[in-house]
Amino acid sequence: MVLIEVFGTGCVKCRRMIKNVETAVKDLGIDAEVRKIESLDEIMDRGVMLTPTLYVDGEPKAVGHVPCVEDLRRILLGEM
Amino acid sequence: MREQNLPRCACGSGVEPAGGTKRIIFACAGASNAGQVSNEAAVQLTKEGYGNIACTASLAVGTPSTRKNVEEADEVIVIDGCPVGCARQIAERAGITPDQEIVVTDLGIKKGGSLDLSEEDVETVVSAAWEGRGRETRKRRSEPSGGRGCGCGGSMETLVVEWRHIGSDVEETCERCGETGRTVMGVVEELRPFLEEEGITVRFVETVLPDEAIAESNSILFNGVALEDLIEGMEVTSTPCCSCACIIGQDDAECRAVKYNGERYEAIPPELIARAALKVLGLE
Repeated sequence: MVLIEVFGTGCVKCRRMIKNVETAVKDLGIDAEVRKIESLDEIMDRGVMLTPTLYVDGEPKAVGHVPCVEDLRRILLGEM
Repeated sequence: MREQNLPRCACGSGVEPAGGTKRIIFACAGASNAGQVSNEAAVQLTKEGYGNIACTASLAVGTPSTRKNVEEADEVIVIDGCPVGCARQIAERAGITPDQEIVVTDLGIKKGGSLDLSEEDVETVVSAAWEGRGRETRKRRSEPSGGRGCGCGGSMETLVVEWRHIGSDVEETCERCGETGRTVMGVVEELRPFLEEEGITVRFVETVLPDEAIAESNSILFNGVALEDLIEGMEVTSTPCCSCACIIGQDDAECRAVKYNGERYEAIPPELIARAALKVLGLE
């Protein structure tokens, strides 16, 4: 199972990041857990200083910007 | 202190994060619900960090700063309300090949005269951009026709026939508008195979007008040009129409008709529709 973490406080970009991640996961049909991390304390504890940020299996994949669905599919396939 | 090291949100922080694709977005912003949805979607996409909305009118007049922004972008996105594709045509005339073309009516949103936009429609267009669905339109347009076209991969010619009427559809509009609508659809289907053989894509668009735009009901546009502007000697007139009066809830009303060669036509005859279609394509 892939662990996808989206760090964000619920702003417009964070909400889009979640939607795009959900679309990409559905398109690929992969087994994934998508976690939304909205608590500032948890975001800071993980050392994230710019939101939205995307982690896949603990690795930062996008910081401060929202990847499009095509890029997210590539990220989840390990191609980016 | 912990407060001094709070994470920043990329929304409106002025931070330009690395790694994002730099996109520029041109919307047609036309005078219909579909046109305005294109603009609202471009605004929303800008707020979401997908790209930056740019002024399509400015592109049309060749403003240097807009050209510079296009040159600096990784991708150019055009969002058009309908298949006439005004934003795409402006981009192409400026020598720009868009990477994505999104057409609002292709996403199941019906073009109409109301300017009350729905959030659902805007979201449909915004999602389509994020999903890269505009690339499919671009690909279709640049594919060789397989017919007698040159096959060079250049833009395929398109004929867009737009029928405009009050009432919700062909069954619910007035009698003459309904007859015109059925005739337009019939002519489009008759012409389609011949024109596609010539590498011309044919599309039919139905525009529902608000009741107050009754003067424009029963009109037909060919690539944005009115029937009466394509047929020499044709004049627009109007005659009393009981069913229009019923639709708009008044005691009497007048509906569009045309005069041509000494005859008056309330429903537009097929031969005039076909002639206008061929004329706009330069095939008459």
